Order: sequence, then C-alpha cells, then structure tokens
Amino acid sequence: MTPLNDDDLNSLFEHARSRTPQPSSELKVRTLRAYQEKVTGRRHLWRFLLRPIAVPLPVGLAGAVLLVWLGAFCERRLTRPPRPPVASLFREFQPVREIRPHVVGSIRDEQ
Amino acid sequence: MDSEAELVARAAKGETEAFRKLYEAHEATLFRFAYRLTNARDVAEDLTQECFLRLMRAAGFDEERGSLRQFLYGMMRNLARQRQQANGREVNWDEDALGRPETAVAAGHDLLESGELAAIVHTAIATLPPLQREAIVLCELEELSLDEAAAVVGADVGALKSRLHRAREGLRRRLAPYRKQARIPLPRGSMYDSTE
Repeated sequence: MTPLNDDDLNSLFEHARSRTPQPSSELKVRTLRAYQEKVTGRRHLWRFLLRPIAVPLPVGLAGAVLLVWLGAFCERRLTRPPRPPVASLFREFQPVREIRPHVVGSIRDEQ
Repeated sequence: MDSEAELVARAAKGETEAFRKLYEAHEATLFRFAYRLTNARDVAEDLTQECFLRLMRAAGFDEERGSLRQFLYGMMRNLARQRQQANGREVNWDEDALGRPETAVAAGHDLLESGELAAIVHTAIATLPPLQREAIVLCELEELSLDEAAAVVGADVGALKSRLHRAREGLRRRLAPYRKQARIPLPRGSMYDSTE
C-alpha cells in the first residue's frame, strides 16, 4: 500500500490532537491530598516541634536549676580520677609458694 | 501576579493555594503529554500526580533557562522513561531501536468516528521507538517548536529532526490504510474533548 503523503499524515495528526481523554475528576483531589500529606504535613511537624510554649516562671526557674545541677553532676562523674586497675591493689601480696600443713592438737602444741 | 518561579517556591513551602494554581494551570497539558507518551490513561494519571509532587521536591526550576511548561515536559519525559524501566520492560532508547510490532489495525472501516481515528493514531505512535515517539508527540501533537522540543529531550535540533523524519516515515506506512479517513475534514462546531 502506498504510504500517506504529508497532507494526509498531518490531517491524521489533527484528528489525534482534537481528541484526547481528559483526566478523571479524582486526579485533582488525590493530587492535592498527596501534596498536603507530603509537603504541608512535613511543614506542620516542624512547626509543631519548634513552636514556642508558655511556661510559668517558677517552673522555668526550677527546670533551669535542675539542668545546671545535672550538668555539674555529670561533669563531676566524668572528671573523677580513674580507679587504679585491680592488679595494682594486690601488689603487696605475694603469691603462696609452699604450703606446709600440720595438725594442731591444741593451742599448747604451738607453744 | 506571581511569576511561575514564585508560585513554585510558595507551593514548595506548603502554600496549598499556590500549588492549586500551578496544578490547574498545567494539569491538562501534563496529562495529555503523559497519555500521548504511554497511551494508558491510568498510567498517565499516576505520572501526572508524581510530576507535580516531584516539582515540589525539585530545586532545579530556573526561569531564566526556560518556561515552567518546558521544565515539566522534561520531568514528565523522565518519569515516563523510569516507569517503563521499573515495569521491567526492556526499553531500548537507542536511535535505531525497533518499535513495537505493529498491531493489526481495523482497516476497512469506511466510516470511523473521529475519536476512533484519534485512538488509532495514538496506537500507531505508541508502536514507534521511544525517541521517535517523543519527537512526534512533542512536535506534532504538543506543537512545540523544534528548539523547545530539543531542549525538553536534551538533544540538538539536528538529531531531533532526524528522529522526526524517521517517525513520520514509519507512520506514513502504518497509517496508510486510513488514507480515506484522513481526507475527511474535521467537522466544525462539533463537541470535542477540550485539550486545554
């Protein structure tokens, strides 16, 4: 069969251009929903975590004092001199080289 | 009126109204392009949604390099390509790759509704190799200029012209049975699906 000429092909393109299915009405709804979950949802989380909160002054002061004390406590624990290793504690003790058992009948025997 | 870049920036920060404006301005174009690339309505809808969400994450839109429409065309093209690869279909994007085998078209119908003829043309385009298909869709159906289309596909105008020429040659042969229908002018004043 003879191929189409340019005019015929262009006419078919015109038919194709004139008829294209439309997206369903749900596409807009689900795209907006996905946008709100993925984009505005993330923003809401950050805003929630970083939002300022009102705290009564005595509570705030007590919290600050607690934090300072906690910091000092932790610093003391961290800067305590290290315990000597276990082996050095027993440096004065010599290992037993010989055991000579003898029976002791009464304390007068020893004397 | 906000520029496109400002709208994109505001939408990316979470302004729903800005996103809605962008969506309404470009939904029809993107869906149409996706459908013409994939010839599948449900896939085209998924790709359209994904494209808009990716736009919110992408920092690549620069108004000085081209319009938002061009940027979205490029993004959609890449998404369609990734979708084909993710589906496990071996898609050869080489210049000389063969297209899909021609499906048996229902030749011999003297009277075809314009919608049926359009569907046949879309099916024929879908059998072209991917690079030729996108050239035809961008230049003949989306009616972009050669320069715009070359920018979208990331090729030079010469390469695009070559792909377009081969695509047209292929379609001339595949659509030859519809010569008679091609010569029937489009009725004026009839109800058509709006394309914009």
